[in-house]
Amino acid sequence: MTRDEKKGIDYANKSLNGKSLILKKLSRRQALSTAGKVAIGVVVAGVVAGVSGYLAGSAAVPTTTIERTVERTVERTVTKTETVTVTGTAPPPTTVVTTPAPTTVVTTVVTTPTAVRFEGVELTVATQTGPYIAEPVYHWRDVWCQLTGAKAVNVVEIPYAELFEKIMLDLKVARTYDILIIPADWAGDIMGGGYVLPLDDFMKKYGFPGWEDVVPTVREKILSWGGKVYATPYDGDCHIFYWRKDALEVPEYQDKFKDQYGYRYNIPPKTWEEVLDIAEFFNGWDWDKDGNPDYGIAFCFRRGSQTPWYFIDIAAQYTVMPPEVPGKIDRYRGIFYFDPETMEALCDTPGWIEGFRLFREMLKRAPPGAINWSSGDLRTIFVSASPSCAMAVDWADIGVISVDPTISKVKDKLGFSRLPGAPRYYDREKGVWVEKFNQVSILNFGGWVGVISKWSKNPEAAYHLLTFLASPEIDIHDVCEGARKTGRNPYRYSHFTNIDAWVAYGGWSRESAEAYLKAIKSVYDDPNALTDLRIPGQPEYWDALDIAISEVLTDMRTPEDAAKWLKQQWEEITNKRGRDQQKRLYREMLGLPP
Amino acid sequence: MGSTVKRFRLDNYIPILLIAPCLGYIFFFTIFPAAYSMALSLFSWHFLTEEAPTFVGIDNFVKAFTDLRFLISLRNTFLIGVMATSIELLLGLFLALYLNKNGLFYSVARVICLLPMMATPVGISWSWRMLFNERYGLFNKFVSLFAGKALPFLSDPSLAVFSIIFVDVWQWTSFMFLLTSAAVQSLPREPLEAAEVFGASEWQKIRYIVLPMISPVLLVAFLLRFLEALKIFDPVFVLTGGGPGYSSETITFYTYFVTMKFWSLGYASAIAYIFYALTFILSLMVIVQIRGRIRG
Repeated sequence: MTRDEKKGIDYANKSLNGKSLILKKLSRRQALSTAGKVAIGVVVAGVVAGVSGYLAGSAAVPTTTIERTVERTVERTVTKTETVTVTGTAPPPTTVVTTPAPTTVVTTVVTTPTAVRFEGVELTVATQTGPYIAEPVYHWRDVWCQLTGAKAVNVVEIPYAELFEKIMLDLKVARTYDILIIPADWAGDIMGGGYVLPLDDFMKKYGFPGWEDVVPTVREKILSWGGKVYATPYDGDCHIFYWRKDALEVPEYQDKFKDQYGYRYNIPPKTWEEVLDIAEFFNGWDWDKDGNPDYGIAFCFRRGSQTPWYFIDIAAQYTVMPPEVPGKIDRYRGIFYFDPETMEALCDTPGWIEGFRLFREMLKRAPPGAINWSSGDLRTIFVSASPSCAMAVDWADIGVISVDPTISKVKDKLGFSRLPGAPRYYDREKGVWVEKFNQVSILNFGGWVGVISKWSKNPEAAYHLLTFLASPEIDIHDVCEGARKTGRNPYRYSHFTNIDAWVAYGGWSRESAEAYLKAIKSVYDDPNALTDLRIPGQPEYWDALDIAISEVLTDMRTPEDAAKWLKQQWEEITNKRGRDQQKRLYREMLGLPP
Repeated sequence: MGSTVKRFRLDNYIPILLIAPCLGYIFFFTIFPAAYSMALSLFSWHFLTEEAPTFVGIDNFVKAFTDLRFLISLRNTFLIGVMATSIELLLGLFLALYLNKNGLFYSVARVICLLPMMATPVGISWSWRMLFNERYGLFNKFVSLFAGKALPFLSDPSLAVFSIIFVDVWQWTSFMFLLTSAAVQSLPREPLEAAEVFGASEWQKIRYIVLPMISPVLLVAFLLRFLEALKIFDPVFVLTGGGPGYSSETITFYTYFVTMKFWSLGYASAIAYIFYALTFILSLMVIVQIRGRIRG
């Protein structure tokens, strides 16, 4: 006898209005009616629950002091208390960071300035699908809402491949986003197109926390367009060069290399041609003695990924003539993409052709299948040493991931430097090669920046949120904490000097952190640093470049043919867009007079 | 009285009222966009600029036929459509005939054969991207046993399109299997039993009885799948990204680029209409051909 039978419960005959529940035969009308009632009941219950929960949540606001606790493990024992006072109205005026180790508990206490309140305001932020870049907004939004009394910060995550079109459609048609966190190289279309608000007036009115602390290259070349500031910094980006110390710095290998190539290589390698030799030397044998063959270099080669940025790392060294006065560019010096006088594409010049040739050679020194690597693949493979590659080029991300114990096998085994240069460059003015060392720093991608849609109904709140996220007390956490997968890389002087933060939050060794930051800073310190092409039509120019590179890599075209074809494509795009208009914007991008 | 007064009768309008939502839906979501896009194909319009669309007549259509990238994508599209659909039909039919038996093994096998169709094309394509990997890919390891080395399935211009076809066949053979299997199982037993009495071989039964009887289903299956295959996008996007170069781009992929990356809406509309016209004509030809054969 079951427990129910013992209790005398007869389910089969349990009745509703005197009829058996099971045996009762429902008509279709009754069934639909019952189902409808149930559905309505569920919906009403859900709405009531949702509204109640929402009101309950709202009732908690405002609070003036917020504590956030983050747990993580670091190797060193650090106890640090900071009190930082921020001028202007941007929060937070007081931040206390305490980091005892080895199991570190970081408590950030943020006290609000009561003057700035955005009661009931709701903001919508659009950016790429997280965790990278989107995560910090989620992480800090509640703090900001509590500080300012804002109702909510909604985050719309869009896959990177669709980000540009979704954002442009919103700006042109739907107009629902307040804040856009976007790649800096879309400036031509978005800032030049007049879709976002200049920030100069907001900056005068509210100030900008630590503006002078943002490195000038970022302030002038990334955040500004046509002499006005349009964006707040969010992520700094440039390519740097990585090498495995357990390969390049082994004296035995150095001697062998010298025997084979007749010279001793530099550490870091000075030119791309030297890199090719070193990559060839380390390619295809087990130099890390793990029983598997290892390879020379890890690069990004896949079409439709980030390949053009990697190609430019090489081609620019042979193409960009150094300015006579640092930072002062003219028709010939400091120029890579177009002639600023005629808007003629320069992609068939000898420097570019040399770039195509060397890029193809690089593929031959990479592991099998590397032609399908995106930068994401490259990072994972290089850091997990599967297979081991002696060198790599990437944004600062490899550095951050290299200290992540869950994936990295190369922690403290990496060397960092700015990109190698070229032993010669092409003088376009005189039409000759100049046999002189040339090293160009490149702000590849330029990082992610925050901009405010001109259709935003709450631009002041939007500005406040962006400056909050970019404030030195907040962004130091995001930049240093690689394990949180924020995707934010350094862009402030204080990011480069606060080594303690890298050690405490990021799990770096002091020596590695210093070398890593020195490499990145050397790029930012270069007044001649080259930016991406940031004029309207950039995706179209970029796609043609991507195709040309892909065709060279797969021997569908020779470097010369690819350069010729690319020039034809770029000229067509320029003509289609209007040569004068493109020239005006290109000169604006370069900071040249109209 | 000689004059007649027409009285309002609600009954006369009920049919119109009932179909009005449907007509409205078709008008706003099919007819209007199609007409708008047709009109747009006669204009040059770059969506991101503030400039108004400029009337260019048939320039966009002329441009398409001199655009090598468009022509290559057209070739790839029809190559994938014809090859993938034909192989899927043959394999699906073979499986339907082979598994048309009673027993646990055949029942389980029939269910397994249907599984690929239920997965999303993006998921399937990612899996195959990994399987094709030259260094770690399981499929490539297997191929290297015979070829002596791993093959660059996705990065060799001569292999990339065929790799896409392979993945499409892997996924959509199950669709053909489903349709042909239903057709085979619904065949009446009598003609087959009569053929057996007269000593027909298995092949003769298939050739002279089964195939003619299920040919209308085969025609529908081929057409449905062919039209779907022409719209292939996800595997191209995930597997090759249209590369190397633009050697594996298809029409939908290229149209996506022209529309959503280059924002040339007029040219994109023209491409879409050319593709539509070619697909329509080709489908008609296939129908006429196959019908002729069935009747003949």
